[in-house]
Amino acid sequence: MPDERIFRQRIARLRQTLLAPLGLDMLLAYADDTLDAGAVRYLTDFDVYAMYALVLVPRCGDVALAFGLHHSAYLVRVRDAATADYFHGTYAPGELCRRLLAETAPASAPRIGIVGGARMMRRIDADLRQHLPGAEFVAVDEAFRRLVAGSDVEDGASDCLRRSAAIARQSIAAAATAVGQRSGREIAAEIGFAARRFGADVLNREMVLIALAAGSPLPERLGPAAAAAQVKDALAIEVSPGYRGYRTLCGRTFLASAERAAQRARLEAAFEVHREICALVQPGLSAGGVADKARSILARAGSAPAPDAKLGHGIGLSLIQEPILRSGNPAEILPGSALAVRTRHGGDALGTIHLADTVLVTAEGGEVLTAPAR
Amino acid sequence: MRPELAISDAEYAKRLAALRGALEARDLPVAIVQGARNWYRDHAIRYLTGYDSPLAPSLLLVFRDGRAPVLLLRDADDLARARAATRIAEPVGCESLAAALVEQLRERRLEPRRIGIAGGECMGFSALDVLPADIARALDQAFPGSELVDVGGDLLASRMVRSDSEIALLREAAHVADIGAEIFLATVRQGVSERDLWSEIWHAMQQAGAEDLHISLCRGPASFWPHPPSDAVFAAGDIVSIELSPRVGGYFSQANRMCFVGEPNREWQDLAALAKAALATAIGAMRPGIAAKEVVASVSRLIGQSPLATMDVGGVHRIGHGCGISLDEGPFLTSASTISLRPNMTMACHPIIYLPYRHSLLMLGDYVRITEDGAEVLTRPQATIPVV
Repeated sequence: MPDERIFRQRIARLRQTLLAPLGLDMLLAYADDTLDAGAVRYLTDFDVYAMYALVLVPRCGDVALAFGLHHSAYLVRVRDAATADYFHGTYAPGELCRRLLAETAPASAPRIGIVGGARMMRRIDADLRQHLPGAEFVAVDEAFRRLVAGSDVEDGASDCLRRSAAIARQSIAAAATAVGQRSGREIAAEIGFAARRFGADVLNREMVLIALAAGSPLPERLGPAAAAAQVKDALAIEVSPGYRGYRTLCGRTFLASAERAAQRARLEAAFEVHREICALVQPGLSAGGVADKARSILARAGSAPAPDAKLGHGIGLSLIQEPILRSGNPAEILPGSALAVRTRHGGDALGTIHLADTVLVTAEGGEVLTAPAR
Repeated sequence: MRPELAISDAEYAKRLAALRGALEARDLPVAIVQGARNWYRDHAIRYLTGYDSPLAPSLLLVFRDGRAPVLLLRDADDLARARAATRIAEPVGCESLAAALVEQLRERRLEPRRIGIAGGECMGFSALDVLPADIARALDQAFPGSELVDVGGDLLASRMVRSDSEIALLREAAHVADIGAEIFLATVRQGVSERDLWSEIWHAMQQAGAEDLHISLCRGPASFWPHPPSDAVFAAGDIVSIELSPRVGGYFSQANRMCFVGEPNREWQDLAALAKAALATAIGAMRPGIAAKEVVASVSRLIGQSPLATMDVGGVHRIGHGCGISLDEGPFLTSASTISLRPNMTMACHPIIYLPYRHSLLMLGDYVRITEDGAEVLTRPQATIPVV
């Protein structure tokens, strides 16, 4: 069962620091994708499992969680997995939204903030607008991101991130011994098995994400395990386990053969470059600024990325979230948030070396949660 | 998956031609096919191209005039794999699916007044229902007054009857489900945690060839609902029903297995007999031409005679569903379903029998194919429901 106090504190903070200053009568947080459901999880601890979920937070009064799959068996699951005042299985949450607003906001033209609204299913979107004809809907994704980052340390999120990082490190280490002996699918099975044994969330496939690249030369892109049929020479692995919903990302490249000294040296050099880039992540900087510096470092090392390449992204309750580390992105790196730094190093017979680490941003600087692993 | 089981380019071309036929019939210049990850809602794109959407949503644009389909990926990292997975569509990476979609339509000088929408259907929601708001708005702004028309239903209906190559893949997937079932029965016992059982089954099915899989479980004396695993341990008195759904070559099969935990007793014997009789009744009733609800009615009559059990929760009796490209798809085997069964439809058959006095349920099931004169069970039936 979730610790209800944490979620009550989060709702109180949301009302105080987001709804009130923005003049919002209600916040709606929408998700229908397990990997991109951070706002719903943050407010209720509900892990979106199938269909959609919508959290309704009025300025005061009951917080409601509306969700699809509304048969009674699923209601048992939702009540067990989430914290809210009212749980409502429905494919049409507009009426519930109208009722909650009527109880707390007399205005005929309420202002409603939405997080995740761009991906909202058309039928849900239409139902909300039909029941709230005079409402003004405002996207508040960025303000919500700031709210989440600001409260991460105080409510135990960073502890969950550390635990997720430990699981990622341990499961990758478990797989390293299998390089050269097993197929990609078998190695992925070992990683998943290890991660689940070490305590990763085990809802279903999404909970331990594994991507591989194998062969000589190593491919530029990682893919699902089934694509890496044979692992003879080298293997790149990325693992992202969830722990109480919080994800980290860890990526390593391994060589199967100990005799290949030149390639080992190349691997070491790539790791040094990667470490230098991880150290760039500091609070207060813009994501674009960090990306530009990272690009310079990679270019100097002979691995210049494509102009529009993503060199990482925010990570936490969603797998990929702002700030995206890409040139030109003004989003600020906030203390309390975490970033997955993903670098690729190419240019010789080994192919592309893939490395990834998760950096926790604190007021003092960045801390690489998934290091050390060589 | 053995390479010889892969769906051929010719079969993909046939599927695409069927969708183009639906566009022709409805006078639509283009269909936008959605692929979302949650609950395997990438099923339509997988069916048409072989490409799944592992990390991010995707869109497939199918043009009626025969131009090559375009596969828009928000996960640009997956472009190389997409190119390898499909030879029938041209994968293109993008940051915003909505913006890229409009750009693609304009590049092709399409100013459609009517646009077909397919894919992403789930839990009774149509393709139009699940279309993301940003895509709907982008289309409305770019092509004001254009009408969105559902063509997903045509696609779902056309894929209910499997081809020979699909059935070969489903046999393979059923075999992997059998391996999961073996591990379940070998592992489950008092003191084992749900997490550990899950891990063992998962590992075994993945090693056996599952590229993806779904498991859910009912456990405990009050286990009314299928749930993901917790750290709770199996204990005496548990009624355990587990659903194992491995995906091989893009196709899910499903097996539902059961056991009781504790000492053998007369109640377990009665419940085991009931679960087995319900499944046998359902499979025995299946044949071409029979309406799904008639098959359900035969099971309902049997369960109605039991003082222990009911199928009546929420007014609809359920004994299974189509399962293949998607985990849950037509034909749905419910008391409301009028669809007639046809040869080479395949489905998960698992009568859901509620035990009100225990707030629990029984769910024993197999994966079946409708033959010319009955039903063939593709998974290996569970011989006995053991007490462990």
